[in-house]
Amino acid sequence: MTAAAVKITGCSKWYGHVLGVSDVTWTLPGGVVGLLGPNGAGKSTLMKLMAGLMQPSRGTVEVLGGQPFLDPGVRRRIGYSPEHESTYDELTARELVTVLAHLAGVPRHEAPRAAVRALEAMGMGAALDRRVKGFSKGMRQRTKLAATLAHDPDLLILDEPLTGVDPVARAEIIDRIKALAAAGKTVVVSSHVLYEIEALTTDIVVLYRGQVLAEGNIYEIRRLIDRHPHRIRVECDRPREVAAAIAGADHVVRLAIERGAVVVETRDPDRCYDDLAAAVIERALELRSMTSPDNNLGAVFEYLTGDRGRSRARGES
Amino acid sequence: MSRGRGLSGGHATRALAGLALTRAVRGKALWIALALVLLPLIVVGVRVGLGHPADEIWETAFGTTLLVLPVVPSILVSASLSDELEEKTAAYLWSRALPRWSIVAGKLVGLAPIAAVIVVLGLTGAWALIGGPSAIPADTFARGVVGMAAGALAGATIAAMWATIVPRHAVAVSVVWLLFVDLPLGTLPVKVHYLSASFAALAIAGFEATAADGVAAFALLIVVPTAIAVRRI
Repeated sequence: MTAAAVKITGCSKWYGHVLGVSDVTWTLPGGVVGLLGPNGAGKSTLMKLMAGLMQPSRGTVEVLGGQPFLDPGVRRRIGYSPEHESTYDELTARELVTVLAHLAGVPRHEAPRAAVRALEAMGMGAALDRRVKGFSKGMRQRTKLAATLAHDPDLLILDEPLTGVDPVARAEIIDRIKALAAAGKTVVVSSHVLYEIEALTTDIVVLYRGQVLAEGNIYEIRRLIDRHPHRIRVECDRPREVAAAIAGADHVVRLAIERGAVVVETRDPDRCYDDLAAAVIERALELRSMTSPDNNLGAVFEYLTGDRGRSRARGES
Repeated sequence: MSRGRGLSGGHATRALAGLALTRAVRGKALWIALALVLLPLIVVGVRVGLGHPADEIWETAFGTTLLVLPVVPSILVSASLSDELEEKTAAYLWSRALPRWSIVAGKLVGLAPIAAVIVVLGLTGAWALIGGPSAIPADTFARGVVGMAAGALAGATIAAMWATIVPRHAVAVSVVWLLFVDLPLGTLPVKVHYLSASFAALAIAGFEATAADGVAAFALLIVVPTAIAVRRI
């Protein structure tokens, strides 16, 4: 029988009095899984525990059959990309990935070749000898990903790999992560943006306030989230015309005109975005911005958990 | 690609030392440290110009270099290690297949000798200004160099210790410790001066106690702060 890639049992982690994760039990047999949750949900803590950066305060973390914090042999098989974008800016991409590959266990004479392979695989072949200091966020993320996979790990732990990157780099990174998964790697990827995870996998673990709130198929959580009225704020030269154009749509729950903007509450964000785009184009409006104040899972989780709480309270009264 | 258990502590230390050195050379800290050694040269140059006796100037040279000594290891070792923790780049190292102690060892192996070379450069320059072997005997100079190098190495381990205890303010705490605690500590006529890098430097150089006392203090200061840093990393 093949051991699970990750097996976490009754795991809690405190930072002093602050709780990172609480009593998490979770098994990942393999494949690609998304860790989803708002900021502060415990995603990064769970990933650091899996990567062997820290020991749990309670419970056990078993990765690839061993304990990552205690066993360098296990860490040799893990590729971890942290959330932050700090790197050794004084180095070139080639130097950075070479030294990190060597430190991950690749023999000294093989490390430069492994680094170049990984950087080229991440589309960084043209910037091998440029210093990281001058890189854009997208290039930094791709360099970090190259450093993550240069030593050919079996398990990739990618903490918010799409944060701050432009749409083109985002699409490229998604494609490359998918390719790694297709090549048989086990990938754990985190995000607080549902749509990013959705582009990568259908298997998700939802974390909230340090606990596993839900686990399974992404469409289930999508269904829950889509029940939550989603706000979209459209800033344009004639907001009343936009409001009039979509007022009759069955997914619109509420409309409000603010200074130079219309705020739409909808139960179907995808359709609403389509309708708004059509209204803007048909009327040749001058669109200044289209933003979603609810574009993070924090608001949704607050809504879901709060709603449950309120429902229970109503039932009891 | 080979799939071993990871790097040995020695190999990891060597790789990390190389990394620390490359970053130091391409950063500002090394150049600031080099600029600092101009201080003893300026002071000595003034005293030579005023025609003061050579042995007095040599004492001044050593004393002025002792004032530079707290800063050089702090801005090299302490800053390098604390940046790693504060900027969170340590995550790249902790997740690698290497023993954690090698992170501290790598910084010390890569940067502590550089700190020692820099302060020794200052002292050597001052000695040359005074008149070289014709003014200060070569053996006196040699003892001074060894003492100053020992002080810098001990200062580096103290700087590493503070980097792991208070990473956010590591350089400031390290400088303040070495300047305002370590220096006075070294002058105390009790065994507690064994905890002073400046005492180690002065004793080995022949200004205080005996060289054996200096070597004992040096050994203690290499082991204890390093052990604390390794424990805390």
